[in-house]
Amino acid sequence: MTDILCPVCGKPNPPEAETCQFCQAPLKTTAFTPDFDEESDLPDWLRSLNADQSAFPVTGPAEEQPSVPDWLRGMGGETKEEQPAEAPAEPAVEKPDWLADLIKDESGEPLSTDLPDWLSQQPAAPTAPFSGEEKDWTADLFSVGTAEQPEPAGGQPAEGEPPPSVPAFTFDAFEEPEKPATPESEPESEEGLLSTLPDWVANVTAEEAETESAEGEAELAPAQLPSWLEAMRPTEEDQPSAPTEDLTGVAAESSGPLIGLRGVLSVEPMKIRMRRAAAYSLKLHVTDEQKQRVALLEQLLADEPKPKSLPAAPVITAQYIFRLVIALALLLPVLWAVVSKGRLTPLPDASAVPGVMAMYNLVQRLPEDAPVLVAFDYEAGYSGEMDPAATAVLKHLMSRNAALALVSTSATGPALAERFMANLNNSDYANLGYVPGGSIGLFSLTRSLRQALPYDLQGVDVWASGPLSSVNGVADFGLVLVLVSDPEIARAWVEQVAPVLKQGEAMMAIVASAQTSPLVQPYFAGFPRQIEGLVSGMAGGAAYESASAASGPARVVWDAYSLGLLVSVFIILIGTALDVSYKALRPGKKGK
Amino acid sequence: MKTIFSLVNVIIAIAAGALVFLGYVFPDLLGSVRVMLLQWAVILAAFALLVGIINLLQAHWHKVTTKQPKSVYSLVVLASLVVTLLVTGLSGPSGKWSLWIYNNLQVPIEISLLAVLAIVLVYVAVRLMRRRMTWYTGVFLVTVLLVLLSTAPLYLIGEVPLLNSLHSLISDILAVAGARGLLLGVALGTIAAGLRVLMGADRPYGG
Amino acid sequence: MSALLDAYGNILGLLIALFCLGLIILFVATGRNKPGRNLREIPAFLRFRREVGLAVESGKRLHISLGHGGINNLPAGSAFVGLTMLDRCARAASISDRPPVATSGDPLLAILSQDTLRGTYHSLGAERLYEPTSGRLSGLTPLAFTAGALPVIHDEQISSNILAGHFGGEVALMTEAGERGGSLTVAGSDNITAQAVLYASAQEPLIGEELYAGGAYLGAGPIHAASLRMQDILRWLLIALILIGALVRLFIGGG
Repeated sequence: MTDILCPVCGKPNPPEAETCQFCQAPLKTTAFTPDFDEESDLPDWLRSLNADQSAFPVTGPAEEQPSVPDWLRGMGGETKEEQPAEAPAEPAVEKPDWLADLIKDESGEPLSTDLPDWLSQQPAAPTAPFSGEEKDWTADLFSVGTAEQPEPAGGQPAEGEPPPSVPAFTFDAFEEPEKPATPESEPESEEGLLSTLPDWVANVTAEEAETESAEGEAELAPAQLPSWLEAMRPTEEDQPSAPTEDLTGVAAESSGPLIGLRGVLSVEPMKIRMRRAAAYSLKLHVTDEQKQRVALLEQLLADEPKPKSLPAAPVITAQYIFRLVIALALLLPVLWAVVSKGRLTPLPDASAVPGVMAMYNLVQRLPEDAPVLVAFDYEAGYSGEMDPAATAVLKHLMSRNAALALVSTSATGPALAERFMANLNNSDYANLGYVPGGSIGLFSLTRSLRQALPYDLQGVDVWASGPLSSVNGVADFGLVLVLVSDPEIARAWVEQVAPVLKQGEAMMAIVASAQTSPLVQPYFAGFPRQIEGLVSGMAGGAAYESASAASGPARVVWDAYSLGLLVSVFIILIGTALDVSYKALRPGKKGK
Repeated sequence: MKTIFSLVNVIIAIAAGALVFLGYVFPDLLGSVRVMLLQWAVILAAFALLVGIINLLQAHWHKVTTKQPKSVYSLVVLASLVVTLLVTGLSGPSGKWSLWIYNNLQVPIEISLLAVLAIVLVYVAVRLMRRRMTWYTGVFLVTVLLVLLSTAPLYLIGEVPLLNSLHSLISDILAVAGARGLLLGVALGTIAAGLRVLMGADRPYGG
Repeated sequence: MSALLDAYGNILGLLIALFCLGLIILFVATGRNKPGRNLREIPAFLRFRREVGLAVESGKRLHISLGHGGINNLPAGSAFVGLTMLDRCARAASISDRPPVATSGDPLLAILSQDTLRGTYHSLGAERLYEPTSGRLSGLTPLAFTAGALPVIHDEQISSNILAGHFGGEVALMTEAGERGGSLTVAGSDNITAQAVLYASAQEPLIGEELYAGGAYLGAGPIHAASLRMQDILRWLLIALILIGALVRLFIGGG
């Protein structure tokens, strides 16, 4: 069943529909058929139009295809072949009164209804557009169709070609609305009309027509279309079809300017169905799904600036167990050695360690009651190594009745010194305290010792009396012994203080942690020596104990220390072998 | 205003650095200026120590008040700081109770940390070949083992002359030479860093 | 020779400093026309750049540790390098949810790290990112500093640890904590012992002078690249001097 196209929006509708389902426009023109019997408040001129609807019967040529409406037929202008050969005859129709009134002359008498020649004369069939002939283009302009449709000059239209366009209506039915009251005036000829135009317009028009026609003949040669374009030529199926709806059965408009036309909207205001516009609620209807989505979006936006906490890693892993095994393998033998208090490992030979013997000899050569400055510049964590290393040296110094002055460039040094001396059961010393500023503090110490350290920790002026009263500067000490675990601090002491000691008879010696030994060794091994004695780590302390033939903490822990070293070597060897073998046997797993 | 402030910072930093450096070069001329500036630096360092302690307090206090994970340890830090301050302030730095805190808390804790370090170093040495399987890593490991074996007489065995010779070779020659080379490089880098500060290119003071 | 050095050592030091300064200025001036000077590839810095990006993407933070060296001692050079690296890290990670945290074992260094962070965020127009606790003093002694840095590594969701400064052998505790926490460690120190420990324990160690090249590799400015070139030239000069001195001592002898 053929759908009806809406005359307003053009959308297809079912044939039984009376109004368009999209725009609510009436689909059937009968709906807009004016009801002439009804009393209406139409203006008179419009009402008269309705009454004279028969004045303009629309007849179409019998040759026309029934699907083409008359108004459509008249569109497109006339081709040269379709130009009407004759001017249409005066239409045998009654003129409406209002129109007759319009063309009354000044005396109140209606003007001659005879159209002037120039207005009634139909243009001759042009042979070609813009030919050289005097062209009645004005007649073309004003000749817009008559009651009798002129036959196309070319006879029947060719098959497949659209029907010749025929003007839907002409002005022949109308009189010229205003015309000077000159009954004797002759109808203006075409030439007379042209004479009203400026000469240059007429000349230009004629000349242009001549030129364009000549050029057109020369230029408008039909082009050779490429094959692909020819293939795109619309076929019969692509030809525009006639309107899907047969409007021949539809009543034509009986009044108004669209009189005689079918399938148009009526201009009568009351005939257009007025309807109330659909009322839409201002309230926003939010569905549940939309609410959920809004809530999700709000949650995403709220969480954006908050850093999310990351999942915690597991505590017990294979690496953790491996570490535990290594720890136990190292700690258990050492613990056993400490507990068993074995003395199975011999102490190192002091003569094989040059620095130790130099230190021993240096202390041995010190005069009795010599002032000795001892710097405690190692960290508390290194006490396990430094205490055994330094105890033998300090005990040796104490056996020489040295006047010990303790100092430190570390904030915790004074407390460490106190602890050390307490372990030695010695109270005959002066703890001068902390020297701030690191290297800068050492520099100030060398410049003015008494100003840098005026009192000891108990607030006693040790420089006024006692064994330190003869000391005015660092160069006045017999020995400067530095206990150090950091090579940088050792270097600072050597670079800042050792040059000043050369001015007197003082010497410098270092008891260093094993890790510091390679960096401090050059100061001892160089020429000239910058330090006169060097004891490195627990091994150095044990060697010193061996040299002084005194028992000390080094001997107590020596077995455990030696065993610990050996166990470490075994753990590293076996563990490396196992780890490498595991990695080699499992090539797929990514090793760290 | 901030531009002027930063410019003043730069001028002060460059001027102070240049004066101290030139004071070393021309001690007779600028030695006293250098000493004065260095003493000011020592005083500033002491005040910086106070500021640093306050910053430490601030960080742990923030952790406690915002109830971050494991903030109980921050509470322990804060309590320890307050107690130590009180005790040391009352009994003095070499007082009985001050030394008790030092001897029974700080020293054992630090020694334990170093014991853990020893275990960590052994573990790291075990994993070294797996982490970097190269020939110089092998040399590194062999050196470690030799030094460990030669540091002290072996348990139940005693001294091994060959190991003693190797120890002398490694610690007195190879290690010293390598350390000297590294230290020279570090010294060059320190010179470059110092010159950048003197030129005003590096401005760690917020200039 | 020793007497000569004692007498004119200070002047010699000034001359060396001026020579180095001149080289830096020269390389800065000539380097403007050759901005694409190739630097030797150091895997630690390549990985460092990548890890900074990963930290930002994963919502974790960077931990920069400056060591316990201080600036009024010999390790001041490494401390300044650490501050430069802190500045670069803060710039790179400024868009992260969690700003980087800097720990140090020296009070002056802690204040400077705060100042560096504040200045960096100010230059980026992101003052709101600055927190005073971002640059913190974690301990006053080396082991206390290490013990104070361990909770930062364990508990503050650290993606990468950058250790640049003066560290001792105790740095192994920090690298081990980083490995247990699954974070990368890029570490360098001016201390020989620490370098040996870092070679064995850190994923990306910086040995010798590589730490001092950090500024040039991280784009801290043309002066850093120029000073790196100066170091190269000076190194070759030193090598030549040592060889010449050793040969002179060997063949000519003398005290």
